[in-house]
Amino acid sequence: MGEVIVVTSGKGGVGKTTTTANIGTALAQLGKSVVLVDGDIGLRNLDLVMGLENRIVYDLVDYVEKKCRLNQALIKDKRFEELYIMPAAQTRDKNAVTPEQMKELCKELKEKYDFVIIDCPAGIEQGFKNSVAGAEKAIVVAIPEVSSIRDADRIIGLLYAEGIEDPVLVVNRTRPEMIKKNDMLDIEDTRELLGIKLLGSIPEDNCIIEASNKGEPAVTNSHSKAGKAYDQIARKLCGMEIEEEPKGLFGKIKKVFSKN
Amino acid sequence: MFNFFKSSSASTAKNRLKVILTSERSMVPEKVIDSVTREFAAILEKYFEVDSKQMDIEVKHSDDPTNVVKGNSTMIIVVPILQVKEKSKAWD
Repeated sequence: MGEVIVVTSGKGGVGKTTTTANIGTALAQLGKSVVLVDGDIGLRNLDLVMGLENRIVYDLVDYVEKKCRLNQALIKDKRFEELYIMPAAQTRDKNAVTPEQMKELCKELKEKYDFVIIDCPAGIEQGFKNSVAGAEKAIVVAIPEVSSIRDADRIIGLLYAEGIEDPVLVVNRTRPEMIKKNDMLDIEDTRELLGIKLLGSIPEDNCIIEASNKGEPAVTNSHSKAGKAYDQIARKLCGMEIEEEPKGLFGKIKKVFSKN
Repeated sequence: MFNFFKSSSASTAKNRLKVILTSERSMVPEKVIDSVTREFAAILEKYFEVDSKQMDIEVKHSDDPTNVVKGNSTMIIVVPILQVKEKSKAWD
């Protein structure tokens, strides 16, 4: 039996779809079976970020309305055998699906896959309620900016009300040079304000835009800092030990010696 | 520490957010939160010397499972006590 995780944020444009695509791909790289569900009915984008937009015939609404079989609404990834996306309908609106139908869908998917990750739309309305309905866990994505943190806090309150007890935080698009100058909230400040556990942080990285241009998640690029950070998060989700990056010259020397 | 003379927009952001999140979680206006905190400290100041600069306030979401009281938002006010005032010691 797999687990269902919703990726949410309240505010738009903070990296929900990027986070969903990268964590999902990283989990597939680690050998897990994964389905990424686009919860943004009417404004789908996960297909584009994953580079699978040309392969869509049926979508989530078609399946829920029994117009196709499950495997017809699941698009297999180009790179990984056990990675699928379920695209959102582009020509319907968020009321085309009910929370009960989403619950049913999640129940069915988690019986077959290790991870079901739902990319939640921005906002706190029907699309949010649908995306959260079938989830057991939640990842809240926030960037270290006032409006994102305020919206994330609102979302955390709504997640608690939906019965998700332990949402975890991903602080996205951190800029270490600004944090050093005290011109950006640091990761711990952001976490402390929101009062939830930290899952990880992702540094701002040009590779993310290049990756979405190409439709290849950054986590498949070994030179991407953001990609590495997403890989760490995926390992954490699998309950694997994470190797801390050694700090400073002394730490690096110690690491070299400890390997012998 | 070395940024002492630089203006720090991060701490401005943190302070602003602290006030707004506290107010939004409890659905109590910011001004009320502010007076509650000050009046609470004033009571304690009768008996203790307190570090008012380090005073802190937090409100938990009503449905947060770590809440002491289920179903209600909980207010936590932290007032660091430096020492007991002589006057209150005399009451011993």
